[in-house]
Amino acid sequence: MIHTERLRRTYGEKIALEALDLHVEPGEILGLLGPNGAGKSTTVRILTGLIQPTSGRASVAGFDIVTQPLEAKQRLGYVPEQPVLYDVLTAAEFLEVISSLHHLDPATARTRRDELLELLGLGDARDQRLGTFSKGMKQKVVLAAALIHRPEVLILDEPLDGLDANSARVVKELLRSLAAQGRTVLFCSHILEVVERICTRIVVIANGRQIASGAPDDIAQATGTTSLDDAFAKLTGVRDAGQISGDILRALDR
Amino acid sequence: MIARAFTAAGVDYIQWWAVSRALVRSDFHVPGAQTATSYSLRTIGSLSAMTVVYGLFGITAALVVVFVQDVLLAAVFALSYLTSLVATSMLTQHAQTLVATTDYAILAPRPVSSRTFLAIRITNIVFHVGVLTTMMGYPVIAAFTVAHGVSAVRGLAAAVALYACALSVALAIVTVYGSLMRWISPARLQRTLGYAQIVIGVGAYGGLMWIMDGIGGSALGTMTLPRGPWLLLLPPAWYASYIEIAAGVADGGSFLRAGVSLIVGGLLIVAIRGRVSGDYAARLGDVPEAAANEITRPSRAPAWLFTSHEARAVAILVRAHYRHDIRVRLGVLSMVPMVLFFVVISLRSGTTGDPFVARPGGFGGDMMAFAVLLFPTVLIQQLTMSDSYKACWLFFVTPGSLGRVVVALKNVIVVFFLLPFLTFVTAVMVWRFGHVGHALLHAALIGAVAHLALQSAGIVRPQLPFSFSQQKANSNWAVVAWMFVVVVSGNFVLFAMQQWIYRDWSRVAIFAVLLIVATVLLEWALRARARSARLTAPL
Repeated sequence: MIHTERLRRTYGEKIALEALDLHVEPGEILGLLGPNGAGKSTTVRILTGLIQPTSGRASVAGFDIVTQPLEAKQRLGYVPEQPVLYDVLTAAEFLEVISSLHHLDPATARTRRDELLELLGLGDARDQRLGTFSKGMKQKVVLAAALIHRPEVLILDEPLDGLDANSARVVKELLRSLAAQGRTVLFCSHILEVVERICTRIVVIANGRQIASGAPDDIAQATGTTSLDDAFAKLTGVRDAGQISGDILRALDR
Repeated sequence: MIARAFTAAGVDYIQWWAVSRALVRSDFHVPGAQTATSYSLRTIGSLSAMTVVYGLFGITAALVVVFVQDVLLAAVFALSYLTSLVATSMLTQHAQTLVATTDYAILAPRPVSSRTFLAIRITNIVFHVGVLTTMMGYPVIAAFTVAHGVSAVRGLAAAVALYACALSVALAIVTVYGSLMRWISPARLQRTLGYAQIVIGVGAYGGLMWIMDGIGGSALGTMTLPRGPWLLLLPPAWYASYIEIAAGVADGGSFLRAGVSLIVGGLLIVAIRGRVSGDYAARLGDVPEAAANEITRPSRAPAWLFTSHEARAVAILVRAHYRHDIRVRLGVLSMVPMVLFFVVISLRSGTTGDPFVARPGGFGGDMMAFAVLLFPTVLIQQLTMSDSYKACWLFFVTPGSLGRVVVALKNVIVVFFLLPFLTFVTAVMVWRFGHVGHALLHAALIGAVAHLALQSAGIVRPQLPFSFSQQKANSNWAVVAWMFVVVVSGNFVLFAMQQWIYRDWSRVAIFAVLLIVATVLLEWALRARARSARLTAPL
């Protein structure tokens, strides 16, 4: 349901993404991992139509995101890394705008909007402006916006960021259920424990290239480590964490 | 020594310098620059565009300086006009920084005192006033230097007077804001005091037009400002006396007025240093808590009015911004003074202003039609700017057609703003013309021309609603050039309508048909342009 072929994106002379081949099937939750600047956000931005690839192809739900963007976006739900929203809108108004852009009929949109806000604990805040919302509340609004049109494919960039523990549990369970229904989920996160727990498969990218793919245990085994944490550090070439923290403390002594 | 002076004033110099420098850099940041070179080029481009636009205002005042022989009258006029414009711009764009809570959230947990925090905000405002004054004032300073005999001293005095007058107004506004914040919540103050722009707008544009209307065909050069103690009540006259002194035409009153300006400047500084800065930061801290529980009436977009999904989405966005974004609201309401002024001028001159009966003279007759013409073109700029412009990602990740969103913005402006404004203007015309048919026809024709201007705006630069930062929107050369074309061609069309077309009913009929054909063609062109435009998300 998400396919990329030799996807490449450059910013001037800087290569952000190089020949990325990604395949995520229906019912799968794929964890996209990588250190900062690895190319995760670029991948997500291409898949959601925010930017275009320099070369290569990307399709969502069987539709090319460059040549058939409207068909692809009709089937796509997206939670951005930063929940940047129009501060003057209320939560209800924002979901109404999103519903309109997804061409939902007003009655259906209203019913789903009210239920989603209620279930996500925002029922009382539905008529408050988003500018007054906490990060977690905004995150819930974008989650509702990503789900309101019942997408076949979900692309989530740090969806648990800012959520309280109970809401995070709900979202994790929801993602599993959506996958069980046959929907495709692409999940980007820096929290490896969460990725390990909910993703059926993981792809690790660094410097714009895919460097590992498989189930968490398989990746650990292939790198000769015992956990995804250690495997990630080994794959992305990070120095020993203990050594770095010692160096930081020494720098503060100067 | 500077650091010691700051410490004596209760301000931490190191903190003040670090944050003030960062704020200036961020205020002039033009999004999209990838390298230091492109950053510099974009910044220069942005400042150049602003200098041209603001310079146009300065040229108007400079012309008066050139033609008027009385130095005091020329100086009072130029200072009043430019300071009003600077103050208006400050109130709408920069004074909000005084009561904004954005960087408070960053600075509040740091060891920054209330007084340092206020000093940082005031520095930011004073810096912007300085930049605006420079951009608007250079033609006036040049005019005082070369008109009526070259004199560098007179030019220097004009520069000092202009900056001193503008800064005093800025400090006065800061003092009033700071004092009011002790009694009114900053959030409410932000909303309420924004309306001061309308009052200042009436003063700035109305005063100017009143003077121009009064002067009419009379000899501009021989007019003089009567001298007397009453000039002490006119603050611009305090600073205008600097120019009188430099020009060697000062009397005792000039020195007295100059002295008053210095005393008032000192009093403003004392007021700001005192109670205003004491609990400033604490007041700002109350804002988020007060706003958190505020319930808002939903902004509706009636389905019968907006049939496309994109139009409904844009309508909700525009309505919410009008209700809660003071900049958008003021952009709309600032048109009201022009209409009010038309009414006052036509009442004063005793003319009906009916262009079908007589060729209107002076400014008043054309002003209301010009307001209708300019209104949507100014407004579309307002409605593409937003502090939350990055939120326009939603247009890119949803299946709504970007082309249809662009067209929807135009249609929403027509429905929400142009038609109601036209209705209001038509009512005024019916009252003043005393002829319903003439009023309806004139309003319909200028409304159609305004719609053409709106369509052409979309063709020149297709834009998504609320998708640009203010800096980026203000620095676009295409928009600056297009605004210039609208102003010039609009004036030409209005002139042709009133002086030539309205003299003969057959010409009126041909003109109406041409407008309909042009509307249909431009609508087709707009849709094609909007479909093919490569719009990119700000990342």
